Amino acid sequence: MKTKSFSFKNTILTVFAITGILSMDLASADNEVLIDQVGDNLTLTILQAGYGNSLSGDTSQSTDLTLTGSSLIVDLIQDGNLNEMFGSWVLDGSGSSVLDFYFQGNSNIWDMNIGATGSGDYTDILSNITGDENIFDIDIGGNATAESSNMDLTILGSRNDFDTSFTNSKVWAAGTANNGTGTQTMAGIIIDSSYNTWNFDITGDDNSFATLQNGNDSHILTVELEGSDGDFQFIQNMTTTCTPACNGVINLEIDSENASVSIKQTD
Amino acid sequence: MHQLVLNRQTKLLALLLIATFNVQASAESIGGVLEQSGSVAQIQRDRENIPAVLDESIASMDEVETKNGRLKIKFVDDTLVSLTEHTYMVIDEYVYDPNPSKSKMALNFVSGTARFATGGLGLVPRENIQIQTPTASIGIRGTDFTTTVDELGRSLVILLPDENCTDKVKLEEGCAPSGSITVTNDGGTQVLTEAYQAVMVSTFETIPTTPVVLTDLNLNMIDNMFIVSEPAEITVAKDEQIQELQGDAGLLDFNGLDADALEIESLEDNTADNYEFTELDINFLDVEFLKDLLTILEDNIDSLGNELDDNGDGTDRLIGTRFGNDPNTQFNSFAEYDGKIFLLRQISNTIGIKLEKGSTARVEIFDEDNGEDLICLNSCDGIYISITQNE
Repeated sequence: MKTKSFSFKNTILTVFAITGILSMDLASADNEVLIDQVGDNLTLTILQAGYGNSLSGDTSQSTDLTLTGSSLIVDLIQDGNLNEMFGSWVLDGSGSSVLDFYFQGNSNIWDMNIGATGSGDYTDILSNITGDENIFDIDIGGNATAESSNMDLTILGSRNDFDTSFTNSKVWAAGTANNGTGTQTMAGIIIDSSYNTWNFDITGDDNSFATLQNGNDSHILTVELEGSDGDFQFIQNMTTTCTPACNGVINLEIDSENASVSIKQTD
Repeated sequence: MHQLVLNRQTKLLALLLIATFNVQASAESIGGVLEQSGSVAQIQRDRENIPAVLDESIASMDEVETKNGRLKIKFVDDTLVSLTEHTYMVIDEYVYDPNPSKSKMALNFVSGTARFATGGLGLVPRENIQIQTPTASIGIRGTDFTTTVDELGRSLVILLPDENCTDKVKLEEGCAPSGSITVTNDGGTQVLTEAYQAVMVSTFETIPTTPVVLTDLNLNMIDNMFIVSEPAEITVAKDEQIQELQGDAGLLDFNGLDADALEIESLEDNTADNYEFTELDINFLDVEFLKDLLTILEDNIDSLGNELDDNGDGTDRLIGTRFGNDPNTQFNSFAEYDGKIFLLRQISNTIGIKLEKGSTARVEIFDEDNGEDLICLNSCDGIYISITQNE
């Protein structure tokens, strides 16, 4: 296994990691990119072509890769199957960063945490995903502010699972009244920030998708769904401290025979 | 001359005896007050006002006025008549005989809202039962129905479903009617044969409207029916005034926050007295209900011949709401919006749902303030959408 570790400040980094795709034996010889980066105005481009590539913070794949700084421009391209980002992607700083992700392949895992310990304000995330059975875990502003995030997500594929766990006091089993009590682990994207504007375009069958927009001000969620057997849950919690009021907007466009959609808005 | 006086005295005595007999006969109990709530209603009998308290007996020729209370009367044949606030009913005649062909009932609903459920009279020949409103005669057999009569005498008659019908059943499977009704006046006759089918009668000379099924109605709404109406001229003037204030508001200009603004203004002078007045005396549901009901009826009449094609192009049908603004579900539904069906619920938060034409969807709404609603596109399967809004 080849290992590359980078620590740069105020620089431009380009990584190309290419793995052969003809032999299954090469699955054990994955490319692994380790990143521990602090500094502003970073421009980072990573292209991983092949399969079984990974991004993480150390060789044991137990530490988050770290990107800290403001005005970051990150382009990540993973072209192939079974690629992974291990651990959380801690992207802290004062904001104004642009993240552009492009995934093409199946069974990829994407685990990212923006604003885990510092500000993640004004982050633009542009994602284009083509493939099946991908698993995505995106946390934004879980422990620090991440206001005014703008996220555009386009997915073309089936059986993709946006997999983040959190505890909810309501039972939200599809097809049943969601006014019961109890605890249920949900999958999805969890965001704790304000002024979120997300635009999601999801095409494919049997996708599982859940989002939570928490925060002290208004949120906008626009989702286009096309495909069968999908299970979607969208929650907006606007806190009561807004003056005069926090407002949420959810716009759905659904082309499906039997999708299941749960929507909850509270303020 | 003396003989003449005796004859007059004899005749007078005879008349008094007859009158006394009639009074005694008319005072015979034909039922009693089964339930009573709110202000005590009044029963006028032989020019006396009798409080319609619980278990008070009812007699033929009684005139019942509910004022600010509600009343349920049970007749000896188990027929039930429920009267809501500000309802006036006269019992012209009631005869109960174990032989149904000898039983008779004649009721006159002068104003307000009454719900009628037949008991033993279900077997009585239709011609022996006369239900009268100022503008129509209602013929029934084995039937539950309601009448709503406004100050102008206009009558709204609704045929109710059988006792097994619930709101969910109504939406998903439909409901069987409790019987049939004929509504007749000098203009002609209409026959109601479906659950929640209704006609409105404006004058005794005008034929009742063609029967339409009220899709946005349920039994709970009927139980809360309250007669508040106003002359059409006033309604038109109010509508014009609102349009002037809002400009030529199109659908895109709809602003759900207007209602909140009105509520804030009503509480602006929040002295203790005003709070008491507001909380005790304002019942927005009651005030709005009949207006909504009549609007529903008129909208359904407008869509006659189009009942399975609510959007007018032969493809899509909404169940549990309607295209346009629905104050009950608080949805604004558009049959054509970017080539799709568009459902918009805009209170403080906003939810907009675009659905493909011809698709099927079931939308369940759980609103902390307004309760639960179920609306469907074309049928109650396919896409499942659950909406919970708490504020």
